[in-house]
Order: sequence, then structure tokens, then C-alpha cells
Amino acid sequence: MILLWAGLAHALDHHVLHEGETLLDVAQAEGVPVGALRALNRLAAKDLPPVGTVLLLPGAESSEPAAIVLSVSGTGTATLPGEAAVPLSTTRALPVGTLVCTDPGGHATLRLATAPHSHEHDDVTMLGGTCLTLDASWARDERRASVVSVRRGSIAVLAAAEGTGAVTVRTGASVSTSTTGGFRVTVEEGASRTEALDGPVEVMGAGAQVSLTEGTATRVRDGEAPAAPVALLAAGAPRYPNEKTQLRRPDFAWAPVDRALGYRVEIASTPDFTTIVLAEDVGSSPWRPETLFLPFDEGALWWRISSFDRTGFLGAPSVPARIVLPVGVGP
Amino acid sequence: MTSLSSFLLATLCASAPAHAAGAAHAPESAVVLVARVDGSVGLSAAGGAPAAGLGVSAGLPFGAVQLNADLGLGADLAPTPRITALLDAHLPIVSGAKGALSLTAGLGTGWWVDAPRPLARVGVAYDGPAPADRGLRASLAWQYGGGGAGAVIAGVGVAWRAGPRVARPASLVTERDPTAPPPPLPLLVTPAEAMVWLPHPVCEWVPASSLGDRDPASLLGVTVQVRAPGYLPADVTLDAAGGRVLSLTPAPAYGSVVVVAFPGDRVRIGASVFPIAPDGTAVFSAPEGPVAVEVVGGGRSVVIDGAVAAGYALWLRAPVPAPLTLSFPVGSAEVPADVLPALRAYVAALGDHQLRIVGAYASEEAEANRRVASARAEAVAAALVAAGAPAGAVKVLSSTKPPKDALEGAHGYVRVESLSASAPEAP
Repeated sequence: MILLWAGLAHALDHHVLHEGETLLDVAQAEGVPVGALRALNRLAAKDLPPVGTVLLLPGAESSEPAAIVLSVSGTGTATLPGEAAVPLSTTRALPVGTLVCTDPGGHATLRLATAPHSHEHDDVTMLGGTCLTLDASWARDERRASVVSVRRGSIAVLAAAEGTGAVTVRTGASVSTSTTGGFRVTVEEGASRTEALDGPVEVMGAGAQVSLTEGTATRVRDGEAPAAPVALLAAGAPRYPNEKTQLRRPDFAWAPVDRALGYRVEIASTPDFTTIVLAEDVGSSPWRPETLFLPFDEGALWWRISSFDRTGFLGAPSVPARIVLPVGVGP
Repeated sequence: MTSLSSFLLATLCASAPAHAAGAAHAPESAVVLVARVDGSVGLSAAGGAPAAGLGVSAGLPFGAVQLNADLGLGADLAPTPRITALLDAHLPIVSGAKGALSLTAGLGTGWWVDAPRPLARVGVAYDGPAPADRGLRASLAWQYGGGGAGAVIAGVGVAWRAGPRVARPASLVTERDPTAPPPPLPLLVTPAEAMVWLPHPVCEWVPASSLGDRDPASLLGVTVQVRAPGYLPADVTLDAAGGRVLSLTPAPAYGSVVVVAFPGDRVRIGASVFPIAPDGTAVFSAPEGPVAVEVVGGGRSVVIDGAVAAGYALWLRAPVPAPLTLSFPVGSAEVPADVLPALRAYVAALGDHQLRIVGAYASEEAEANRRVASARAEAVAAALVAAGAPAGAVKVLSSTKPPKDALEGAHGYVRVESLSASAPEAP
């Protein structure tokens, strides 16, 4: 453990280059020589980094791991730099450079920018079949900053309750950054989409920048600027199961949403959905799965519903509803 | 006499002397009979001439001392016969493997030809190492016979020892101080974190590891309950039968299964049949591992495979019972022979379902076709009952015109369907 943590002492702060900013602006704002900034980010003197470039900043060292695994449902792997892949587990501390993957059907939540004696942090939930790399993560005093690169799949950056955490999510097509969390980034074929669920998000691609407000989304195709923001659909309202009815028949019903092409049903063992145990994209209400597999020793379960529109954007989730397991289920 | 001997022997056995040491299996507390020859030499003029004699004695042990009654018969060179009778005691002073040396002292009377005289005798006697019941006895004594007559008497004889033979027990080996408190009840429980319920008057759960701190006598005969998370419960009666190690058996890891079927279905796992709730579901626990649930009813028999995991609930949904559609030859209301196997199979998997039978007919020549359809439905109902379906479970409904797209050129059919197939749904 000492060796592991010793190797984490070089996590760096970062800055996402916004529209209108120059390297000089960043260097002056951060008190860093421009040459040092170029050298650290391997930029030649003539290079003009485009909007959305994540600039690493020197000096913000931390002895904390870049992330810890908050929860795992199903299976996944963690590949630390220079090491072989190991099963993802909640006891795992992950340094910068770690590749984290969830298997199809598995889910995991990572806690980024952890700081000792601090209750403030940034959580990222990975859906099944997602792979990301921890590029940077740093926390000091009340400032937090993290950068992850999503290779495939989908992640949701949970809304940060307090503090000024900045989470930047890179894909092959875009860079999305927010200081409030509450957004989702999904890698698609030749594109990526960003959905602002609970707060504003800056999305950059091909040197262009789009500001998303809560309840909007954009898609960035490879090599193209972000598309114009679109409004997300409202969430459906869960009807069954609820806290008044036992989940004997696994029939999930909700109030349909106009123009919804489909829905995502999510079940978690905590109401903040950092411990997702099931996520399923379904066509319409009701959803009657042939089989259902849920933990009963988690104390309680909640479910929520989100709506897909015809272009594939997934809206904000509904208010969670409690699931009451049938009498006889349990130890 | 016999009882007196027994009493004496019993008394003697209780106070075994040590003077017979040297014989590994010598009689304990033996009566000693001695036959001897002796000779005496006078030590004064009044002591008389040298004499020789024979004697016998019988001795009994009293503690460490042996009391002897001695009778002697002798004659001097005169020859003058004499008889002596004494009571003497032998007190062992040396005893070992080579024999025992005793001091002797006795009083008695002697009868010479002239007159009786009192006698006093002191001396030593030697009992040599001997076989178990026979040995040498030699004695040397000074005897005073009154009137200033003294003599030294030396004798040698054979001693017989008679008495109960008692084998010496093996040395008693004690492994602990008998004054130490008895060890705790030797009940060792694994896992160590197990808890033990001590019944009345204790009425308390205590750690199994603390049993040794309790008075063992208070736990003897008590049946205690032993419990530990993740292990099967066990009840143990504590007794003094010796060491006991109780290893609780790990409980199999269980998950839950919810079979989602229909009212009237029967749910089986192996030979076990599970009750089904009015909403068509059955909830039960199953050990971790693969599980094959058989759902029978409504004409279907399906096996649903799943995997049970500890700590998880698995919902398995059975398919909806499919209706049975039977085609008939034009104008015929007789159940075709080739559909009878299908009917029998349907009834065999009927479960507790209620059936409704509807004859459908084409719209041409509606009235005639309706009558034929009704007759077909009745015939199918009769065939189902004949195949084993309860008559009360079969209900024939009024015949109806089929949907336009259902006929596909057929002139009519009979549909057999389960009333439960219109699934109970979640509210």
C-alpha cells in the first residue's frame, strides 16, 4: 500500500482551454511560465492548442489516489499503469493512468478527487461495457479537478453537492467539462453525446464550444463542432412498483412521456444511484422482463426511469421510487 | 468358626503387615504356623542340663506385631521330659528382600517333672526370604525359668503362611493434583465466535469460549443451543462423557426465487411442489447454484433454468399458456382422431386451470355453421373430460364468429384456452 500510494504523488491539476483563451492567459492566470506550460503539455512553440484542450498544470501534487472504487455491481477490471488487469473491487485505489472497465451488465461508481478529511468529492458512475482512463485527479483545500477519457460506453458525473469540483470528460470527439457535475457522456459510433442533467456543461469539439444548460444536450461527431443544443425529454413517473406494493410480479410501469422512443430503467441499492445494480433500455411501459436478478441484502432498492428521444438523447432520470421485495425473499 | 475366620481375615486384610515382605505375591495378613526343632544350654547351675526339643507355634498379626502361641516339648540329657507353653510377640525391626528380623518377647509356663515354673523369654527371630507360602524361621532367645534358672535356646523351623492372596494393585498414576479444581467442561466449539444459549436458570447467550469459566457441575446435563452466523444451528447436551469438539456445519448459502406464473399453475423443483399465490407467483428459498423450475398448467409444461446466488432474488417468468386450436373437417362435429393425442397432452399438463372452449364459425351460412361450431365445442369438451380433465374445469362458451384474419381459409375451428391465460398483471 505504501508503494502504491507513493506512486500516486504526481497527480496534476489541469485547465480546459475555453473559447477566447490563449496559452498566455492560462500561464498568467496560473502563475506558470508559458515555456513550462508548453513543455509539460508537449506543445511546440508554434502549436496553437484548440478550444477544449486539457492543459496539465505543474505543482499540484497530491498523495491521494486519483480515484477509489466506491461500488461495483457485476464485474469489471482495473489496469494500473505497467500492471496486468485485475478485477475491479471496492477496496481498490486507482492511480492516474489506470484503465477502468466494466463488463456488459456490470456497473461501477468511482470517487474522484478524494482528499483526506474532506467530505467533498466527485463521483462518476460507469454503466455496463464502459472503459475509461484516469488522466488526472487532484484535490486540495476546497478545489478539486479530474480528467477522465472515456473510450467506450457511458458515464454519468453525479451532481456535486458542494464545492468547486471540476470534472472533464474526454472522448475521441469531444471534451465536456463542468464544475457542478450532473451530466452524462456517452461514446457512440463516430460521435459522442453529452447530456446536461442537473447543471451547465461546456462541450468542445473541433475548436468550437457549446454551452449546455440543464435539460439540454449535444452530439459531437468526430472532427466536427458540437451540434446545436437540443432539449431533453422529461422523465417518466414511476407507477409500479412502489413502496405500497410488493414486487411480486416484475412488472415495471410508468407514466409514458410524449415523443419518447424508449426508456431506461435503472435499479440501485441507494437512492443516489451510486450503486446501480441494473440498467435496461426498454421500449415502452410496462416492462416485463423474463428474468430479474436483484440483491436482497442491500437493505432497500430504488428504481427510476429516463426517456430516450428519437435521436438517442437520454433525459434526466425521474425521482426514484422505492422497491418493496415480496414476503419470503431474503435470508 | 468360618465366620470368625472370615472376620479375622477381613480385619487382617485391612491392616496388612509388612513383615512378609520379600514375596511378591505372599499371602497378606497371613496366619503363620511354625514347626521347629530347638536346643537349649543352661547358663547356670539351676538352668539344668542341655536339652533338645520340638515345638509348634501359631501366630496372628496385629498390626505390625505378630502374636504367637508356642507349645514346646523337650527333654534334657537326664533324660527329664518337660513341656513349655508361651505366648510371645514378634516385632519386626528389619524387613527387606533378604528376610525380616524381629525382636521377640514372651511369657508362659513350663512343666518339668518336679513342678510347673513360670517362664519369660526374650530374643530375636529371623524369617528368611521364602516362597510365597513357606519359609525358614530361626530363633535365638534367652529364657528365664524361675529359681535363678536361665538358658539360651536356639531353634530352627519351617513357617507356613496361610491367608487370602491379594495381588498388589498397580501403582496409581495421577496426572494432576487431586486437590486441584476439576477442569472445565471440554466443549470446544468452532467457529470461535459461536454463541451458546444457557437455559434456565441462566437464560443467557454467552460466547462459546466462556464456557470454561463456568462451574462445570452447573452445566452437566444441560442442553444448550449453539448458534453462529452462517452455520447450521446445533443443540448439545453437556455431560461428563469426555472431551467433545463441536464443529458447526456451515449453512448453505441461500438465495430467493420468485416464480412468476399464473393461477392454476403448479410449480415444482425436483420432487418439491411449491404453493402458488392467487397472483400466480411462488416465492421460496433455494441453495446457491443452478435451479430448474418446472411450471405445469394450462396445457403447458415448461422447465425454466436459472442460477441462484446467495443474497440475490431471482424472478423467473413462465410463458403464457398458449390456447389449443383444433381444426375440423368441413361439416363435421366429430373430434378428429389425430387431435386426440394433443388433447391428452393438454389435459396431462392442465394443472388446476379452468378452461373455456369456444367454437368459431365462418359467416357464410351462419346459423348452420354456428350449430356445427357449438357441436364441435361440446365434442371437444367431452373429449377433454374423457382424457381426464375435471368436468367442473371445462366450460363451453357460445360459439362466435372468428376474426377475419383468423380463418385463413379454414371453415371453422375450436379454441381451448385457459381462463388464467389472461394473465394477472401488476396494478
